[in-house]
Amino acid sequence: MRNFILFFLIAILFSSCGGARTSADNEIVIWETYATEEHDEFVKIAEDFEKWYKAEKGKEVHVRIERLPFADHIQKIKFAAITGTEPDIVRVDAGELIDLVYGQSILDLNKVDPEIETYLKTFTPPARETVRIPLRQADGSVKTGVYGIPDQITGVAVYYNRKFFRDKNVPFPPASLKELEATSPKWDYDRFYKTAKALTDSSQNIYGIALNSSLWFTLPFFNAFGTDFVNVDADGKFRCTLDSDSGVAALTAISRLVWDKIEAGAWLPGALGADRGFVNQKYAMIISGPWNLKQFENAGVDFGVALIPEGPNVREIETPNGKVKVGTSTNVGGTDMAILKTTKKPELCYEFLKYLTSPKVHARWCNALGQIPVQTLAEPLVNFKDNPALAVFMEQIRTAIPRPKIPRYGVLEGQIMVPQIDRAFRAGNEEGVRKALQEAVREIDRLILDDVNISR
Amino acid sequence: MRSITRTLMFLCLVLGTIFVLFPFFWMTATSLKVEGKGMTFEFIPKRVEVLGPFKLQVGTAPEGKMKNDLTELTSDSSFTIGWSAPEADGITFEITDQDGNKKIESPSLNKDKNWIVANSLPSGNYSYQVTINRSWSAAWHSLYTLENFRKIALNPNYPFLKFLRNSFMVAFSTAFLTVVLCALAAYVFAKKEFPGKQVLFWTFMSAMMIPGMMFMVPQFALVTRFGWINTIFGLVVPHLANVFGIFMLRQMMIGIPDSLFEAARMDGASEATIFYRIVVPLVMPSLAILFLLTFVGQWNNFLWQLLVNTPESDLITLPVGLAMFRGQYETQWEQMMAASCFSVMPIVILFLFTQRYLIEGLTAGGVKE
Repeated sequence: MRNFILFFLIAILFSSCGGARTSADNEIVIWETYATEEHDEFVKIAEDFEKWYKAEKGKEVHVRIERLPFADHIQKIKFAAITGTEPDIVRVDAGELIDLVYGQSILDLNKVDPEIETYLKTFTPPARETVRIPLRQADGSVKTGVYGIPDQITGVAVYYNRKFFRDKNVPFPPASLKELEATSPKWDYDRFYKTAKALTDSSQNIYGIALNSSLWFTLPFFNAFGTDFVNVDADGKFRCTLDSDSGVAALTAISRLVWDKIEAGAWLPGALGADRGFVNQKYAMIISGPWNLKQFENAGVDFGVALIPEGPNVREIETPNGKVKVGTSTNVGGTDMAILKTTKKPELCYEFLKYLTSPKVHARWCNALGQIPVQTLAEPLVNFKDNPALAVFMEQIRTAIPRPKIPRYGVLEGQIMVPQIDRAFRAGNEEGVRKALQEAVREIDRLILDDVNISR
Repeated sequence: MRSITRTLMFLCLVLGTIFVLFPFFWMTATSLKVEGKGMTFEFIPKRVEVLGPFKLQVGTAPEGKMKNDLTELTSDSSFTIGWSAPEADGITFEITDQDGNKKIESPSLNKDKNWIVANSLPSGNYSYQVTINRSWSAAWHSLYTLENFRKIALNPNYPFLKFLRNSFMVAFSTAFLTVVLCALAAYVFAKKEFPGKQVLFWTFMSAMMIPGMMFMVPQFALVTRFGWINTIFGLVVPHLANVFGIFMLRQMMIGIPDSLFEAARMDGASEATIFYRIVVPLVMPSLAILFLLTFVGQWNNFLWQLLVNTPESDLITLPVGLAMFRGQYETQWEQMMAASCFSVMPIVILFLFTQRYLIEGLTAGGVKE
């Protein structure tokens, strides 16, 4: 037995010695973090690209796709960059791309294609903005580079349980910009509050709304109230302005739901979370994104999707049917494909990214996976008829305002904003909300913006 | 009075056991659920399910439908009311008009296995409620399935057995070598004298005060310099210097009477024989605990195993593989729990085999004989 164990150990130790990665001249390596279904579709697209490239350019290319778990993918990429084991292209969360850009790991696509801004104009504006990142230069000026191509976009809207609405005879909220314009009374924060209150039956543990206390889920409300997150001051330095009157009004509007016990307390540690409470028919409305559509359908919930209520920040936006004035808004999430600075094949990588986001290929991706297009030219080719709820998200995304372009999103969210939003929810009055936001601003300036203001 | 106390204590223990085992129960139940039901609190299959009422207004399309609702406006005054439930034994639609009059319709199963009934309704507002009747077997299959386990075991893009093998290899090698190295070091610190022994020992101990994350970057730099990326050396070697293990075994070995060693030496035993024949059997419970703790620690180690392997590595381990089920926003709970069920098995087996040593190790020193 002893000899067997020793032999076993020595055998496994010597059987697994490997070397560092190499990639051929005609090969690009991509690290992606897609879910299983997306990964399978992405592999097919990469195979089609190889065929297309051979037909168009007469050359063989190979796209090597390597899948990473989403958890800690940024750590993995940073460590790989240290050891020279990084790939040519990485797919990263839009909020995390900035960290890699500040770490000087990502290629500015202006160097590959001086006309990149023209190409970028074919993307939906909020997605486009996730890859346009300003960096403070040595002379104090701010230069915006293009550090990737958006490949997915997402945002949030209001999910509502139709059964609860029918039972209480409350009309469904508007599901399109057209309905939003026509609905009476207006779908604003006052109606949102009254609707949530009417649907609450705390004796049955049923609540009108369940909220998350994260910045990402609160941004739609800040946007609807016209709160600027970061502004450039007279000295050309970035300063956080979240504690403005509009910021306080936005956070007070949703905190009122908590104070008046219309909100379920889903944000509290250990509570029944918003998604889970919605699936189990405890919460009448939640704020969530399109990723939950399939899950809620499969769970047998009778739900609808509506737009985020309108705030005072009414502005004009472009839609395929012309310009519309809206006061609703959402946040922007999603992912971008970025080319690493160390790649030896930037043109080939860029060629692949353009293929991936070309209208036909992108529409195929959206139709297969039920996703919102980032490429506006693909929109007419996407079938929203079979997925009307997705169409609501598409409408909502048109109203999106890009999130602040600052690094250390993890710190901003977990270390600064979640505790301060929690504090506002517990405060019980507007003054408490103001103090929470003032504290958040101090921390954002100290932990994030002071570093952003250093010239690079 | 005594029996009441004992009954209460027994009840408390039963409740405590249920509380402790609930996550395990939840994991197993979720792994057996059909897709989408993982997050629901539904554990008992429903034979009769009532859905609705859903509004129906003649002349307008249905207001929005659930996934299985096939109700359609076919002309200005006609609807087909339908529901997709191929597993059902029977379905009834209860149609209520605006005056509250109810009408029961019993549709039949068409060739596409959908329950459809065509209806012509005078103009007005209606609602319909769907009652689905299932056999016990169909009800069971509408909630539970073994499909998740099949997907895990047979998905070519998810080589689960390879992940399992790699995790076992890494956890076993690390645990075994840690025990060997720590036992040797502990023996020296406990029973040998050499200059600077105390200084060296307390220097080692001070390393326990430094958070593990602080070691990650220098360890990673070393592993890279040695060319150990994507190798088992990179996964195992950095975890072998376990200061806590040295400390724990040293404390146990200090308690072994020196007279035992002197007697062995007088009988001609070598240093290796003393270590192997005397020290190891006497501290076996502690060795088993150290083995177990290290094994479990490495079995669950995610970040290091993610960093040291590039995605194309043949040595991807189970925690990294399991994380693939967790996307940016959504998690495939049912499949993730099925994979987790497989992954806890080796740990359960290990605990079963080592529980005797574990209890001895935990109670060592607690009883004075």
